[in-house]
Amino acid sequence: MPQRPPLRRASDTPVAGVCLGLSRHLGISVPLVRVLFIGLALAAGVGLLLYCWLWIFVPTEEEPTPGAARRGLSGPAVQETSPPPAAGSGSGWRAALQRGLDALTSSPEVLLGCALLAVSGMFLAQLLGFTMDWRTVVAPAVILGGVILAWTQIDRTHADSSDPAQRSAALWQVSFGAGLVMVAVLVIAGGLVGAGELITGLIVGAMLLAGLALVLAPWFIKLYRTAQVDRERAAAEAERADIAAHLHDSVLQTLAMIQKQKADPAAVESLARGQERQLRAWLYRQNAQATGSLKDQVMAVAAELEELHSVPVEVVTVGESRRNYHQPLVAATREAILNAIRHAGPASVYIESTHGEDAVFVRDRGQGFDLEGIAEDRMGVRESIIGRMDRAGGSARIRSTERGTEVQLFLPHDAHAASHNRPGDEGASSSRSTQSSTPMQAQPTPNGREVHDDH
Amino acid sequence: MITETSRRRHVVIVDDHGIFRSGLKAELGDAVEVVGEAPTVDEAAQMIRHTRPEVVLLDVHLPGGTGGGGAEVVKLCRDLLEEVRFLAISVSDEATDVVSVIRAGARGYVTKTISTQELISAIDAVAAGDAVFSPRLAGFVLDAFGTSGLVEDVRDEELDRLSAREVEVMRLIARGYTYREIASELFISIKTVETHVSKVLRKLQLSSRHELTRWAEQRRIV
Repeated sequence: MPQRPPLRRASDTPVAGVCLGLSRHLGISVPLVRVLFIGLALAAGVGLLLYCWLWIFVPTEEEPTPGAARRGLSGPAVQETSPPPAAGSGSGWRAALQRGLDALTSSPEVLLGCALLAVSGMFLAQLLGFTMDWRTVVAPAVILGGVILAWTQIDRTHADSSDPAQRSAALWQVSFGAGLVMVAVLVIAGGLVGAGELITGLIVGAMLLAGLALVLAPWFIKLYRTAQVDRERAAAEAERADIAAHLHDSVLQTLAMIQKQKADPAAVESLARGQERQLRAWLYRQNAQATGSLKDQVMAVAAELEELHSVPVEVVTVGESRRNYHQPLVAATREAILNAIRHAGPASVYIESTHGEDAVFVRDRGQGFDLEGIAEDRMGVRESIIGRMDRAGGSARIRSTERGTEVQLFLPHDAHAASHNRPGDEGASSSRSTQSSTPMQAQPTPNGREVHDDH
Repeated sequence: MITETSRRRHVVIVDDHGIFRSGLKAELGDAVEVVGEAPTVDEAAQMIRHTRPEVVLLDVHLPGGTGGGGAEVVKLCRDLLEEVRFLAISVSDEATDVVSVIRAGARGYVTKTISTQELISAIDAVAAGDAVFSPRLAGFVLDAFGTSGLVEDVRDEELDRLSAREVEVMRLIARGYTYREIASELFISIKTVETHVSKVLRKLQLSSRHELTRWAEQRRIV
């Protein structure tokens, strides 16, 4: 005997996929099952009840099941058996009939058309003189509509419950369906009993419901809480796995490398510092990555140079800069740090942004140098630091003593790159150093960019 | 600032990492006498009461107690603050950690990457009743109190703002200057620099300025 596929509601079907699922499970052709259900539905609604029953209790093939989890299947559990056998590929009119039936019964438009036909038939009957109680027809139809409206939400509960708009839409749909059903039931009840009795009945019903709710509420709340806790636990577990993965990728690897290179203190130190910086960034600055602020840019530069030269660079920042374009200041800072760690060793960087200007101080504790002697022949200091700051509309000062050197960079917030449309402007930077500290008129920045990119 | 003492200073090291404690102990060597070590809040409080050291080197993050870490140790030993000085030593860059332990009563804050010589002079300074600010702590202070400063020193009793001189001192510390260098830069004596720093420490500890706590909360990422 062949193994039957599990009973699952199929997806991508007009209503809920009960018939298709049932036909796959039983090995009968789909149209036959549908015709059977329609026939049963006409017989006092038995088919409808059966359909709803299966709708509730049979899972869809997309829902993960314990069995599927055990087998490690991530896809639909019935995938391997899902292509339905091309039924009745055999001879003649049987196949044609089956295809026709399938086409007829699988489209919701046809079903809707049948329902409309039935309604028009009833109108016709009334016109011809048959009297009928509309309540016995309309009320059940409204109930059915309400139920279908509410139930179509069932299959969607898991997907995207985080989206508030979708959630409220679902809530509206369910409450609208529930309202329809309530009204229809009241109409039916109103036909059976008088108004006074109906009101008493309503009150009694409400009291019964309230009592039931009182008893069942703790149970439901507990159920909800358990689900919530499970979800949170899963999230925590995922985060833990994330951290473990990060530690494994970075910290453990670095530790292994440190053990291998223990004979080389310089390598060990640079490994340790690099790892420390990375871990720190990961722990404390997750949200602040790549914001492009002055602080972030200088810290990135400091980290890069520190790594490159294995010399510690400490960065302290105060305030937030109001400028958007920091390129000249960052480039000059980079040059200053580079000078410090090349010639003097560890450097400390202090950035202070007030409402007037951004200031950067780069300090080292080296031998110091004779500024007059060096400014002549070293392009680094003269051009990349002083010249760059001048062109950007700021200023630079260098103080050097035998106990260390400090490079001070200032850039007013309202400074504009001291560049006009005159092309020969480039060489005359020394004559401008006095005038450039006063703010220039508003000058579109593209010109400024051109100048900075030259260096 | 180094006072001449014939005997070595008594120090207790509080840190939850045994490796770091022994490393620090070896690093300090003969410069100080480590009279005790403790890994948790409760053990630290007990050890400090028992040994009465001059300086406690205190990690900011500690297990035990009610979860308050280093700040809780300082609070538990509040009655000893005249006698025992606390120096916070941490790897954490978080402003809230630093500010909380300082506001609890610690006399200074240095990072764990500090050089041995600097650490020893920091211990001396704290033992002598001075405050020790790392450049980063000075940066925190400037960020919290603002960099403008009062124009005159007359409203010195006001706890919520720094005087112009104090801002200058903090700024120079943040720029990496030593007290001696600050003194010669500002043409004042080293003692005056120490006084300014102690005043800032006091303001940091006593200021009820709500901006301070709000700032510390906002700046969880520093």
